[in-house]
Amino acid sequence: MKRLFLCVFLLFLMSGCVEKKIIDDISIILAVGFDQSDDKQMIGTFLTDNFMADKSITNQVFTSKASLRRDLVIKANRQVSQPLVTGGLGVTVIGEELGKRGIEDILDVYQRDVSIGARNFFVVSEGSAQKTLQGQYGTEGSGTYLYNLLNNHIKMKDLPETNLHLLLHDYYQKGKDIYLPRLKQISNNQVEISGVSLFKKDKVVDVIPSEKMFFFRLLVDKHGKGNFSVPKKRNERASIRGFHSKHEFKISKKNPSEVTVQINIKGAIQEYTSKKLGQKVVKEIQKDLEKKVESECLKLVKNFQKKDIDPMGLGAFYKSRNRGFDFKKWEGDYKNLNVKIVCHVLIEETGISR
Amino acid sequence: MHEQTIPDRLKISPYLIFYAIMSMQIGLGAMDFQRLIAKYAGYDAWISILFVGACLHIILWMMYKIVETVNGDIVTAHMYVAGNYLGKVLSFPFILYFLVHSLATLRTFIEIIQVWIFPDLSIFWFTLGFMLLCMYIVFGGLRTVVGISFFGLVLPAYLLLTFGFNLPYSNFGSILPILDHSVKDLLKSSFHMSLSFIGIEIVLFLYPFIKEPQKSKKWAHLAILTTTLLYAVFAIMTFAYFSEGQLQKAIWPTLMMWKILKLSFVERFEFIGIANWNLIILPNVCFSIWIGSRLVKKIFNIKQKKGVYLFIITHMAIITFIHTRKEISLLNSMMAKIGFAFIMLYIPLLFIAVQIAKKVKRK
Repeated sequence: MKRLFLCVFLLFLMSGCVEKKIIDDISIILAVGFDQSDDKQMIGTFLTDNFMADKSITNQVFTSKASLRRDLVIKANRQVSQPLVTGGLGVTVIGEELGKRGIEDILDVYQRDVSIGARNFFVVSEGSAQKTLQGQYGTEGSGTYLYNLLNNHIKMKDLPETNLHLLLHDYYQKGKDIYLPRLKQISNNQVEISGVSLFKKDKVVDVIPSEKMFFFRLLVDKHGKGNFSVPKKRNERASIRGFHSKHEFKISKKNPSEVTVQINIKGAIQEYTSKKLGQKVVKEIQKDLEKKVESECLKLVKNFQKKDIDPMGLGAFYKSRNRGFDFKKWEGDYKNLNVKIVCHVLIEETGISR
Repeated sequence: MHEQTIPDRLKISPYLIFYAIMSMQIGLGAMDFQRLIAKYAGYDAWISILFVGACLHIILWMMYKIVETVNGDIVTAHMYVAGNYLGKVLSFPFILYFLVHSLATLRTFIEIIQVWIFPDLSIFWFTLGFMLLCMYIVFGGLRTVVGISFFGLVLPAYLLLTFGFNLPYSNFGSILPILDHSVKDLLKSSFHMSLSFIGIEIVLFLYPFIKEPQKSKKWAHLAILTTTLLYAVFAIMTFAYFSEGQLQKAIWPTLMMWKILKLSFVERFEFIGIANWNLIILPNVCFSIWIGSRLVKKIFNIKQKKGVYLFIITHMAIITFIHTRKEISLLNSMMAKIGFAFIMLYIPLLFIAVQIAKKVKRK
């Protein structure tokens, strides 16, 4: 009995031992933007939301300037009545300028910081990150809006799968380069996903526009889905919803410098702008799509090789197939790699109309 | 030689040795073994785990042989080999061994809490609270400690399921090609795996307390097999989830894997995971204190209770002086080395010594 009393006593005694953070007394940062300033410093933009009495949500943006990433938070904290915390961070926006200069330091912070979840989305903005975050999007608060925008597009497989974990995974993986989605602010309350930025090491070197994203995704994501339209002849167009796509790399047995990317797409026709959609037409559409995918993907791959970037992770793939793989030699080999694209499309349904 | 007989009511059922061994093995090292082993053998390191597991079966067989021959614990074995006085001297270092073991376990856990949840957690107060709990359990006797080890293994077992959330982000192709590393690298990583496997030595101390010890053998082997497979599967899951460079950057890969998990009621799962880890740590420390104080009792002929107090006071005194990551990782690597030397080198030596002594005595 005595012991029990002691335990209960200690329970009360020790509950005051550590710093508490009560959810009503903190500001949760929902989105962060980083920009390069003219001098060596960096501009940080922190987006939080305020819940008003009438149940509406307003955005609050704080900016600060410092040379260390962590100092940015400390400086921004001086403008806020409640301490800023990073535990609920969902979106990180990298300014265009900074992307070109390199994001290595920022990745280090994200790797090191305990409080940041691995589901955080990284994006590159067109123009400055500060401006992108200052916009007023949606009714649920800008931070949540941006997070949902990215999350839904990744779920629908419009965007290649990306989050902080996958970014760090690829960044520290030898034989693979990173890529991030791009955000474009159209007006003060409109924003759109405008493509994918390709990195070499930690610097942006190339951009894939949104029209080519479908092909890019076929190359980088193991599984995917998405919409695509094929022009046929002059006035006929067919829109195809791919439910399932899959890619596979195969190294030729005879010639190790030849790799085949086998892409399989299963889909359904959703829209067709001509009179009748017969079996023959469906076959034609399949053929057209196959040709289109093969030529567009090949263009992309040729471009990767020219820029010496490897977002598909071919280096990592070759490593997993060869014992004692030499990355130094690979750097030279990659440019001369003979990549072949073979696409196979199967249209399973044509909707509920004949 | 008079071995004090232990009454049946204080003994444990043979199958409970399964929980005792497993809960002692899992704890220290389970948070970061993936990084340590991958440093040397890359993503072939899971082979090292299986190799160490296989070795441990032989060691376990040796341990049972030792304690069966002398019909007692390791102190009896020492006295059997080296006589009464020298036997006790030889047993003395094991008090320190278990002291360092529980210190390393507890301090590593406190470090995790400090880094992950409460940066300003006081080491002293937490240790005091934890030690009072341990004292309460250890005073209940071995049966209570083993009971706690059962709960310490079964209750947090659900944590394994939470790693299923990592699978969508995993690429199992990354462990290919198999056997890309030399045998030397594999052995090196096997050595570094030893910290996570420490714990089977408790058989040497618990043996007199097992009812029908013959029957406990299969459970002990099953425990090692389960731990080995658990570690191997878990290592492969980690390797699939992280890339090699990324894994080397992560101090606690196991905790980093929880970062992806987000549930509707909790934004960050690590908080629940770490709180549950307390249950995994508890039997580790309790066993160490129980064994340590029992050794004190046998060697110095004082009451076991006094040994427990001694252990707890020493803990409180030392633990507040270990502050930085460097010191903690030094403590862990020291523990790994001592543990390796004890299990892989000392036990075979003792086994041979006991066999020789047996032959000599028969003549």
